[in-house]
Order: sequence, then C-alpha cells, then structure tokens
Amino acid sequence: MKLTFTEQDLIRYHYGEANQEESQAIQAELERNLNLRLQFERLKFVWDQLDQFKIDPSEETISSILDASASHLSNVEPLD
Amino acid sequence: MKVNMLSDRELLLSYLEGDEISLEALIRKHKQKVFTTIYLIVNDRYTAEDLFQETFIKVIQILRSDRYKEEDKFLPWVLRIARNLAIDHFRKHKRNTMINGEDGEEILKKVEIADVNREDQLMQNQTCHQIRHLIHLLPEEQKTVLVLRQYAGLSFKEIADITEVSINTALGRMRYALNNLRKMILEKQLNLQ
Repeated sequence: MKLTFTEQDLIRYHYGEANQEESQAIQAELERNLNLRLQFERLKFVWDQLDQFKIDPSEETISSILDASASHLSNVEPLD
Repeated sequence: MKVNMLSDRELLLSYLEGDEISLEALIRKHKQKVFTTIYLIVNDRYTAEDLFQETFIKVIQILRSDRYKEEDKFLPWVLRIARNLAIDHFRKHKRNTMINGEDGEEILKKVEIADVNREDQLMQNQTCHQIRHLIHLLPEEQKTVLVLRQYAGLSFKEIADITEVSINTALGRMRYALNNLRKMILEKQLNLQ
C-alpha cells in the first residue's frame, strides 16, 4: 500500500469511495503526517461550507404531489 | 410503528398497499437532497419547484406501474430521475437563451441580476445564498461534478459515465472545484458561518 496520498485520494476517501484497505491507510497516514492532515483540513473547510447549502421545496409543492397521488394519479395511465 | 422509523423499502411497500402517509414520509425524508440538486442545476427556484413536483409524479407513476426494481436504492433512483429532468430543462433553457454579442450579454446579465434579486427574497438563509453564488461562479465542468457528487450523491464512476470522461478527469475537476471555491471564499473574505 502506498504511503503518499494525493488530494484526489483524499477526496475519494471523504466521499467513501476508497476501498477499506485504502481508507485505513489514509486514516493512519492522516494521524501521523501533518502535511497530509493540513491538506485534508483545507478540503474539509470547503466541504463544511458546502454542507450548509440545503434548501427545501415549498409546502405547496409537496401538497400538490400528495394531492396528485391521492386523486388524479389513480385515474392516470401508468407510464408505458 | 411510526412512519419515520420505517426504511425506504418499508415505506414504499406501505405506499403501494394504499397508505398515502408513507409517500409523504418518503418525500419529506428526501426532499432536501432532491430539491437542492435540482435547484443547483437549474438555478431558479420556481423551475426547481416544478421539476421537483415532476420528479415525484414520475416516481409515483413508475411505482404504480410496478416498474420499480427493488434492487435500486430509492434515493439514488429518485435523484437520477430528478437530475435527468433538471439537465434536460437546463439544456433546453440554455438553447433558448443563447444570445450573442455585447447587447445580448447585457440582456443576459440583467436577467441574471433580476433572477438573483428575486431569489434573495425567497432565500432566507444568507449563507446558502453566498454558497450558491460561489458554486455558480465555477466553470461549468467543475460545477457539474461538484453538484452531482456533493448534492446528488453520485459516485465518480457514475459522473464519469454521464459526462463521458474518465474517473480521473471527474476527480480532477472535483479537486479544481474545491480548490477554486476555497480561494473564492478566502479572497472574498466571506463570512460563512
């Protein structure tokens, strides 16, 4: 297993796309390698900001879907 | 048992047996991820509301026609439908608003500003507004990968297939997107909480 990891490796690790062996190696390397940890922190700073962007649809939109399901759709042909 | 304690699969089965409350639980459980993804692709709240509705109407139609494959996980499946509808809309919209020349660019700018102002009234959370603004400043290729990975939850492999590039290219674009966002946040000294 390689001991030097790239930013792309850290990105795959963050999104859970590194395999188990690789994840464990990155985790161990993050604990002992300050430079890698700083690199990861820089990425994490952005992920933390991105995590804040969450918006909801309006209640009217949700009600329209539920109304459609309860009434209209029962009379509508299913998709071919 | 309360509906919010049920798994997606249990809710789906319950809905197909006629329990409308289960559908509502499914929508409420996943509305944020689905809506955020659509919104970031089309960049317009009203269009996003329409496409969100269209997505779930399609979901209901497929469920009722017994075409849902249980091996598909519910959220990725819904996100796939949402993303396809949003991208279709985005492509059509892009074609319709293609204006060349300085005057055209000016018109587009005005339209964009008007749109942002309208969004301001609707979007109560200032941090959300700032982040959304920065995401839209990214080059299109980087923005696409960022939205599909971060908000739609697609894997880099799936993104690579959709955008017809290698996984490495998709990862590289993500890396540029994250680094560019970081620079923009620091340069603008945004007070993101």
